[in-house]
Amino acid sequence: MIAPLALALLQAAVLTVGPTGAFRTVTAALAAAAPGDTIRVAAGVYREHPVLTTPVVLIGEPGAILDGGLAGTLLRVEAPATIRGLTFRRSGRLQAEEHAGILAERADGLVIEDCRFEEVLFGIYIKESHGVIIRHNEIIGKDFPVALRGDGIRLWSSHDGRVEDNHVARVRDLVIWFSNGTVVRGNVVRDSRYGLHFMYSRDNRFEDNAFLANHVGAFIMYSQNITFRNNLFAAARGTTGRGLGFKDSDGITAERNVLVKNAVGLSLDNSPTTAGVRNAFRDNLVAYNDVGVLLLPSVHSNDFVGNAFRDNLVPVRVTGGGTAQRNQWKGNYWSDYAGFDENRDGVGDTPYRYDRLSDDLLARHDELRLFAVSPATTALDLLSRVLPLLAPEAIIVDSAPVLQAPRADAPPRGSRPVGILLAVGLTVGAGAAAWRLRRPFGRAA
Amino acid sequence: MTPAALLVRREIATALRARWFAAYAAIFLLSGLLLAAVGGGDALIAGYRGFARAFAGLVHLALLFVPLMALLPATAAIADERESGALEYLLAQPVTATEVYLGKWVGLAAALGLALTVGFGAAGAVAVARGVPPGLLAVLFGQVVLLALVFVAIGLGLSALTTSRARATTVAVVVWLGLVALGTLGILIAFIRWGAPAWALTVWTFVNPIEAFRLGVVSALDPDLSLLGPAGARIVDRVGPYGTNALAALSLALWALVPGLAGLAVFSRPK
Repeated sequence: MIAPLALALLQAAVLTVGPTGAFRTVTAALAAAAPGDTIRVAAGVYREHPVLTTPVVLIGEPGAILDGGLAGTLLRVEAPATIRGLTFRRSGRLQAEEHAGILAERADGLVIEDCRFEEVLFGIYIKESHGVIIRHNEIIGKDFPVALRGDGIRLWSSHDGRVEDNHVARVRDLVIWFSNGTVVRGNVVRDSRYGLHFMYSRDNRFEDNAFLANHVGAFIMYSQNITFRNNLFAAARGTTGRGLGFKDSDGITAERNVLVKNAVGLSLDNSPTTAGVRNAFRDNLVAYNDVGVLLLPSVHSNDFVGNAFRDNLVPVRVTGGGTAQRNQWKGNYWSDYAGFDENRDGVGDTPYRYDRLSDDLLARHDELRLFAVSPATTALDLLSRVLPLLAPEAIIVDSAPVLQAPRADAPPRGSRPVGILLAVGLTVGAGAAAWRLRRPFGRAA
Repeated sequence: MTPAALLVRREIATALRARWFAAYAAIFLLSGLLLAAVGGGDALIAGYRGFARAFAGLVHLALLFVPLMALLPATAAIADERESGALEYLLAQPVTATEVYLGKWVGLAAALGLALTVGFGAAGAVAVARGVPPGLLAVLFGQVVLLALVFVAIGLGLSALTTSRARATTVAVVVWLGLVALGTLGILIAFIRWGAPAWALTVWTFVNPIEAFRLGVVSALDPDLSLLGPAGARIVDRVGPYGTNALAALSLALWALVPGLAGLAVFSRPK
C-alpha cells in the first residue's frame, strides 16, 4: 500500500506560476497540471478567472492575488483540490449569476484554507460537495447595502463539511442549507445579516463561534439534532434582532452559550415541533437583552435548566401574551429574583415568578411597546401589586431559582481618569458656586 | 449692576438659601451615586456592559423626581410673594414686572441647574469609572437639565396665572400626575378599548415632555429604537435617529419656553 503512494508522490510535479515561474498564469498551470501536482503561485496580481478541474494542490505565496476586475466568479472548482494562501479580490456583483470568490461544485473533499477574500459578492460557495474543509479564511464582502451583498460562506446540499476558524465580515449571510453532519467551530461572523442562516439540515454542531453585531446571530429552521456549545451571540439589534432563533426545529441542545445585548436573546417558534421530543437549554448566560427569551404562544417542551438570566429588561416574553409554563424552568439564576435562601442551600426558598401587568400588555399589543420603561407602565405594575384583581397570569415560574450566577463575570475594566476628574470637578465646582452665590451682596453689606 | 441683573442675583441667592436646594442636591447626589454604584452597570460580560436596568432606573428617577423638584419651588416663586405682600413692594421699585418675572425664571433655572450638577456630576464620576462613555452621560445630563427647565417654566407659569400658592401647587401636582402617568394610561386605554390609532400613541410620546424625555434617553442608548417595537421602527424610519433626538429635544425646548412665556404675558400685563 505504501509503495504506490510513494510512487504517486514521486511523480507529482511542482508547477510554478509567476513572472519568473514556468507559467505566467494560473489558468495555464492548471491546464498543464496532472492529478496530484502542486501549483505554487508567486506574489503578484493575476487578472484571470481560472477553472480548476484537476485534483491539485494550489498554493499562493504571500502576496499572490487573483483579481476578478469586478467581473464574474474568480475561481471555479470542479475537483477535490486543496487551495491555500491565495487572496481573491474583486468578484462581479451580479446576484443572478452568484459571482463568488470560489464556486465549487461536486468537489468532494475540497480543502480551502488560509485564503483571503476581499470585495467579493459571495465568498466561498460550495454546491453538492461533501466532506469539504473550510478553515482559517478571512472573508470581507462588498461595501453594499445588506440586501445587495452575497453570502460569505454558503454550503448547499453538502454533507459532513467542516467550517473552522474563519473570520467573516460585512456579508449577507453564512448559509448552511440541506447539509447534514456539519461542524462549525471557532468562526467569527460580524456586521452581516444572518451570522448563520441554517435550514433543512441534521446533526450539526456549532462550537466556540462568535456572532457579533449581525441583524440575527444564528437562525435555525426545519432542522434536527443541532448542538450549540460555547458560542457568543452579541449585539443583534434592530426590530428583528435576535441572538439565536429556532423555528420548527427538534433535538436542540444549547449549552454554555453567551447571549448578550441583543434585542431578543433567544427566540423559539414551534420548536420542538415533533411530539415527544424535547429541546435542552442549559448553563447559558442570557444578559442585557431587551428580551431574554421570546416564545411564540404554542411553544412547549423546552427545558431551561441552570441558565443565568441577568439584567434583561424583560427576562421572558410570550408573543401575544400568555404563559410559557408548558416549558420547564428549573434551577436558573434570575438577577431580579427577590426571594431569600434561609437554609443556605443555594436555592431560593420561594419560586421565582415573572408576571408583570405592563409586560403582559406590551406582549399582547406590539404597538404599546412604544411605552417600554415609561413611568406610566411602571405605575400600572404598582397598581397590579396593590390590587391583586389586576394581577396577570405568571409568564414563568421557576420552582428552584439559584441565588448565585453560575458564571463568574469578568471584573470591570480600568477607569478613565479624565472623565472622572471632569465629573468630580463639576460636582465640586457647582457646589462651590452655589455656596458663593448664596451671598449676593457681599459680607460687608 | 443693572436692576435686571440684581434681580437675577437676588433670585439665585434666595433659591440657594432655601432648604430645598440643599435637600435636592443631596437627594440627587445620593440616588445618583447609588444607581451608578449598584445599578447593574458594573458587570462586564463578553465585552459588553449592562446599562439597561441601571438606565431604566435612572430614567425613572429623573422622570419622577426632577419634574416635582422643579415644580414645587417654581409654583411658589410668585404666588408666595404675592401672598406675603412682598411682590407689591418689589413691583413698587423702579423695575418692570417683566424684569421681576425673568429674574425669577433665570434664578430658579440656575439654582436647579446647580443642584442637578452637584448630584449628577458625582454619579457621573462613578459611572465613568465603571466604563460608561462620557459622551453618552453628557447627552443624558443635557436632557435631564432640559426636563428640569420644562417644569420650571410650567411651575412659574402656573404661579403667575393663579391667585394663591395652594391653588398653584394643586394644579401643578395634577399637571405632573397627568403628564407622568394618567395621560399615558388614558392613551393606553383608548388604544386597547376603543381602538385609537397607533399614530396617536406616537404623537402623544412626542408631545408629552415626560415621554419625549424618555424617547430622547432611549434613543441615545439605542439609536434604532428596537426596544420600542414597531412604533420605534416607524419613528426611526421616518426621521432617523438624529431626527428622533432633535424632535424630542424640540418638544422639550418648546415646553421649557411656552408655559413660562404665557405666565410672563399675564404677569406683565398692565393692571
